[in-house]
Amino acid sequence: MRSSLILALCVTALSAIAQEDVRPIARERQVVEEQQRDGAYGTRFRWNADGVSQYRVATPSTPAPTESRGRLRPTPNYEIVDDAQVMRYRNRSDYPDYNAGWNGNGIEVPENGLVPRSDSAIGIETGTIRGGGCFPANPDDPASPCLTEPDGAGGTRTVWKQREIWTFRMSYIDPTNPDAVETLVGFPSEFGNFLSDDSLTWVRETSAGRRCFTFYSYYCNTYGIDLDYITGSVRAFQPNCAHKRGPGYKAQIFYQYSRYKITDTIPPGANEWEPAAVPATATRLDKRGKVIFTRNWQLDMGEGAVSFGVGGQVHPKIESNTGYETVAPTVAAATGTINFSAYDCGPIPGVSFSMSTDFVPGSSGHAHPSAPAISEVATIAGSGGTTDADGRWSTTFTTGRVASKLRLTATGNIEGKPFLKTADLSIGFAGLVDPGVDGSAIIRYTGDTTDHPRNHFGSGELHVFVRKMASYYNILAAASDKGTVGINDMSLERGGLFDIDGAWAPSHFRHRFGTDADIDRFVQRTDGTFVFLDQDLLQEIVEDNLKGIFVSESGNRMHVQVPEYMVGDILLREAR
Amino acid sequence: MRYILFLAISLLLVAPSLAAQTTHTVHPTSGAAFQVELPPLTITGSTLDVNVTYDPSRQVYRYQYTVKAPTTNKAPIRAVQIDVSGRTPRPQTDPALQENITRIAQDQPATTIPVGITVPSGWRGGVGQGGDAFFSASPSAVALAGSTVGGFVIESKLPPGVRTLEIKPSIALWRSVLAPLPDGELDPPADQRMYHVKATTVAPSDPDLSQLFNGGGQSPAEVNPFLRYVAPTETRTKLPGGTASTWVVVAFGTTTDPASFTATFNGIDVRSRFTPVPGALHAVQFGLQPGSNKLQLSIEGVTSSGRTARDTDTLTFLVQ
Repeated sequence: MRSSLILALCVTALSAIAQEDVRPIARERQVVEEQQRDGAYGTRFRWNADGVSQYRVATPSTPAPTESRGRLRPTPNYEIVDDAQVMRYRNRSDYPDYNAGWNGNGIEVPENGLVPRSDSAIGIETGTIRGGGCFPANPDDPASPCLTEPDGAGGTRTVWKQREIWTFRMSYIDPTNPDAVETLVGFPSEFGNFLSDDSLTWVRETSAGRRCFTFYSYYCNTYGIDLDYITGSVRAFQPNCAHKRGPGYKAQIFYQYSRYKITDTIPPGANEWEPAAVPATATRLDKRGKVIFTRNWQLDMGEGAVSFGVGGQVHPKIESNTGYETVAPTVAAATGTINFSAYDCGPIPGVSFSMSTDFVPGSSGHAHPSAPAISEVATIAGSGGTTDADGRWSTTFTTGRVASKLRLTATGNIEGKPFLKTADLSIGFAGLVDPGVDGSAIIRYTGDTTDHPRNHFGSGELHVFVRKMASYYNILAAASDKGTVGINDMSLERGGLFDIDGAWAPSHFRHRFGTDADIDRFVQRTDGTFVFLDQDLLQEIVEDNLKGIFVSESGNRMHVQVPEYMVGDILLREAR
Repeated sequence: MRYILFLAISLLLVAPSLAAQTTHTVHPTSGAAFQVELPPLTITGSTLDVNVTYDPSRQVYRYQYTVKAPTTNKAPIRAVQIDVSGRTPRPQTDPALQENITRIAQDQPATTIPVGITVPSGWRGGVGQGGDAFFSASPSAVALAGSTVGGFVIESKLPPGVRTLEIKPSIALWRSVLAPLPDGELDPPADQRMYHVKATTVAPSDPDLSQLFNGGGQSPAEVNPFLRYVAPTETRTKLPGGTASTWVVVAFGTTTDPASFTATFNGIDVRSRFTPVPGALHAVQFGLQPGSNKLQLSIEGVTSSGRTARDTDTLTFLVQ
């Protein structure tokens, strides 16, 4: 029986935590006693029944309330469960953890509401559940007066409920099949993989004569307290591919009460429980008393049923005339695949969609307002389609010379439901960095513009190279020529075309993947004044010490490049 | 005692003949693109003479170089770069090697051959990131057309070998053209590397002495190593048509008798071009004629049994 199971569960679990919980319980009792004096009951004490089902316990009252106080006045209508709801939990972290003071972040499922299969759990949450009260004169009418019986001394006495049980059930009936059998979805238990109803039992008299929910009887008995209500509860299951998609799911709470203790002998002809359980039939599960809560809901496909994406960042092409005649006269365009799939515990063929492509402004270091032709970033072969028998669709793309980001948007319908999915196609050289010049006494950054505000991305090799170059310059230069060497344009954030004039046309021919830098013609001395840089010395350092490449440009501008063998290494890394 | 080992002229392997000016499109930072002509920086015919001596007392080879800029050069020579990369890691400084340069950092690989570098006034020297020893001129010290600049010395404890050489022109001419122009980028870039003269010379090398070619031919086999070779590596070497000279680097066995050494090249006695030192290496450059060229070297040495034997090798260079 479920009640005995819970009892066993409680004993097992409590034996494990008793040592830790004794002092907190005592402390909580003291706190609540103070709160009681102040008339303020709290929910400060919680208890976790097992890994899934949890009960939130208000600090038990002590000494026991009198029969005339509060909820224990002699009326029978106490089966009500506050705030019962079907809840869905998208992630494991959304699930309550009463021990940790976390009441969860579930989403209420309305009547006939949809629950995605991808959710972490689906369950039944309640607010307060109260035990106790008198046995009604008419069990079919909770509003009837309390049942009384002769007390053997010429008077009468009230008959009390000795036991109450709330049963929580999740079940399924396939609505498309008139002969469908009702199946138990159930809730997991920490004692095995089987799924079952969850139940909660209150008894008027524990073995130590306390009123208590049985999962808590150890505490009731040990500390002489009564527990007549809990402030919350939850139990849930994890949906999987064994659960059929669609309507037919039902959450229910059943309620039964008994005037007999578990040790009593039930008189012939009397019902042990009211309302009596309705036995299971060939097609329906049993009904454990009065249904006090029902909610129907539908299982929907997972939120990731439609997936749409591309792989990681790929490099742009570099057309001819790059300046790297020996190691990289060109860098071929990269190609990749854009994938769309519809899958929910199996492929979903025939899903049609269309795909649009938009340039993401401001991406990859280009801050100028105009957008390039999409083909300058990438040429995409397809613009939408229909999933095949495997639930898949794909198309290819070829990169252009502009490093940037394209936003791909797929829109369509899947089983009548519209969807919109986006994926970013990222074109660029992935390994470019800008460590900055914080506090440097040998280099300074120059050349940033409104169109290209961040112009100092480069390979690690380039950053080391220019720092060595500037360091050696400051060792070898005449005292009057020493100072910070101005580092002008390197590459943009992801490399690719560096259009100085912001017109998406090449101008910087050798600033594509972090191997080159322009050098300012002036050195800034420590006194803040500027002096022409000793270009002969810089050329010596670049070519002879560092084996790099030094290129003169018009207007006394200079351009440097890391050694060609480094260019090869960088390309191997960046253009895979 | 110091032996004068040889005096030779470097062999030009690559001699670009780029006498014409080049045209470049200037893309200014603002305004329309325009074209500019850059004068040639041709330095074809530039040479680096080398004189190698060996100081047995210090066990140091001394390589003395002289830069010669012919009158036909269109630009001054700014720098010379010689490959001194090696095979195994070694400490990069050796106080036994003389030098007059100031080292600012160690950029070269740890396998670079340790060298001492001496430069004439107005020049700077060092070992660069690629494992090259370099001599760089200040603008006032460049080797002008028709001039000869000496005083470049590399010292090393490692023996001579045939190494690559690069002679670089000054780009001052280009700067004088480009400086007055508006700021801009050139397409194609003004890349002076096209005018670099690439050649070979003799410089410190790092051969695997246990694996040198021994010329073969003698019996018993222990006689063959009396004469071994860094270059060539086979008895019959085919060279491309037009090859004007070749290097021979010979290692003399430790038990050899220098007085017994003989050498003929195409039948002519060239003994005087060698100064054999037991246990040392020696390099000589020979001018080649089209077709077959034969070098015959011979020397006596003492075998492990105490017997005197002669090792004679005939090396053929076939210019196709």
